[in-house]
Amino acid sequence: MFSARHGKKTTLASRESVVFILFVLPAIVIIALFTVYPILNAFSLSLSEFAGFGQPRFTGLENFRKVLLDGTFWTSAKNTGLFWLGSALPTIVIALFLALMLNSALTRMKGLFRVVHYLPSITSTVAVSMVFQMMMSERFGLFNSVLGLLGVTAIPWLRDPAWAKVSIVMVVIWRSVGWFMVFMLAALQSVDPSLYEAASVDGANAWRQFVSITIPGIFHVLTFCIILTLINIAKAFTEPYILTNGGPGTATLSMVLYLYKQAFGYIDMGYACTIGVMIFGMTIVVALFQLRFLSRMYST
Amino acid sequence: MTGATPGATGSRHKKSTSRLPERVALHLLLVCGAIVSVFPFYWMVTTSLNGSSIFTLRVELWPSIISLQHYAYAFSRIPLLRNLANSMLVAACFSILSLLLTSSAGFAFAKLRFPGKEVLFGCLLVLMIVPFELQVVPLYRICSLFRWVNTYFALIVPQAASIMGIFFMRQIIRGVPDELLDAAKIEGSSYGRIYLAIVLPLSTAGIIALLIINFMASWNDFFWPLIALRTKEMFTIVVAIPSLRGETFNVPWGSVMAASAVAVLPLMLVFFVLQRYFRPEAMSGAFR
Repeated sequence: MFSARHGKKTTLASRESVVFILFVLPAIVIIALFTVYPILNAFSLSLSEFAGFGQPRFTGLENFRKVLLDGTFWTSAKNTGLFWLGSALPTIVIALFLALMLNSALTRMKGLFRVVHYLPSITSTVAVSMVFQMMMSERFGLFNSVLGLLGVTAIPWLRDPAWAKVSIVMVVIWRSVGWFMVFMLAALQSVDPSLYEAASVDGANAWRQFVSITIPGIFHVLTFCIILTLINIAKAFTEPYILTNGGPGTATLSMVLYLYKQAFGYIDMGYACTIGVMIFGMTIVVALFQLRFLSRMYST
Repeated sequence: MTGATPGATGSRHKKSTSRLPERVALHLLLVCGAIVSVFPFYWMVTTSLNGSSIFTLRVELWPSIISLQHYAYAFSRIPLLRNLANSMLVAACFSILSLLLTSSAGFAFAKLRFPGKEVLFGCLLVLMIVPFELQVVPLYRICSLFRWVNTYFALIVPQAASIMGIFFMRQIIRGVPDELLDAAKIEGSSYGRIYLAIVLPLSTAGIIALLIINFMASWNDFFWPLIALRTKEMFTIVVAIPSLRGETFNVPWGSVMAASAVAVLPLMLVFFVLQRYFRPEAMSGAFR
């Protein structure tokens, strides 16, 4: 019912309910079959041994015992955490910086700059990772050639455990800055301009205005973006898969890449679901923790 | 970095003409950022056109010999045309099916009355918290049960009823005035007609935005197609690119870049043409 002013209320309302069901049903059926059932099934498989065919065998908490003692899993968790620590802050700072510049009244050709900075986010991560892998290749890659011209010795970008992590973080930052810039730009534009006018009249300088008007004005979006960087990193798969395949050794193995390898490399699908449950649980716990921390920071 | 003064500058239009040094610094920084964003694409295209031999990688800012040999090699090594067609078909079917499913559900949630509607909607939103990565193994099981592994169906159907899309279409359709719908109802139009003849035409901007974002998400998706597809003929272009690298240490970079360019440039063209409809902040999370 669009607005409630009809006579035969009950029949109309029940007819409308039928129509509602008809409109919603196709989507609900697909969601039930391909989202709800898989989620429930993933939890049940996480408690089973399942090699991809036949019936899963219930093994209770055995998989969880295994995952808690699995050094490779914890390495992948540590790597994912390091990817987050390395990428979140630079991404947010650069994105905010770009958004501030694009929001300035002094800037011309805003639309063009916005689109250009946004390009990395709309292109295929596979293609982008391929380009970086080529540029980072050790002997003939662009990066080392340029460093060579500057007299710096070649860097083993993807072959050294520490540099490989740095390389992945670089690609993640490059790829996501534009995406967060758009969010920040929308947030900046929603700050009430009269606040700045009042502050200028009171003689507050630009930095002062930034700290006491801009930051509080966009704090909710900053919080949202920080949580989003976490969620994105928890899903990290393509960059390590293409650039290093988790290597050297397990130096850049992300949690999802480990899940993928367990499920479709070793065909240990029950265990892969256990890893999935762990990823889900850990993401939620860390996100709630961050949310609490950030909201407390805001209130003080 | 004087140019980086915060949004504060927005309030000083009058003075802005005299602040030349700030302006120059601001634009210089933006141009630097733009170069960093665009350079990898430039490098991809020039490498793919570089006419030196297939396997050696020569670092040249502009290739001394331009040739299409890398493209020829890429198209001969893998069924790239077929992969391109697969990507187009899958992305087109996915975005259209998704539009039908999410706009009809969005219409119902925005404009129709139903007991427990809000609860149902809340349940959908809760589902969004669960990452796709957790669902992937059971989803693969279902697809093999349906004999959908290595078919287009596996890529088109399971994610088509995106909850983010329903949420977005509900927001858009809420903006259609109730008076119009009431008037149509009094004239005796059915709900189906109202949806087709009033709701959809009045939501065009939102529909185009959703189509673009779904098309791109489907085109760029890698994780699920990598799992669901088996043969080179069925690969989408994004899945096909890594298979060009081969097993040896001698990666044919020119042709890998050629295939990447083939995968990236059509989408970029679409993006440039339709970018005024593109508002990612309005549908955060629609990218997987």
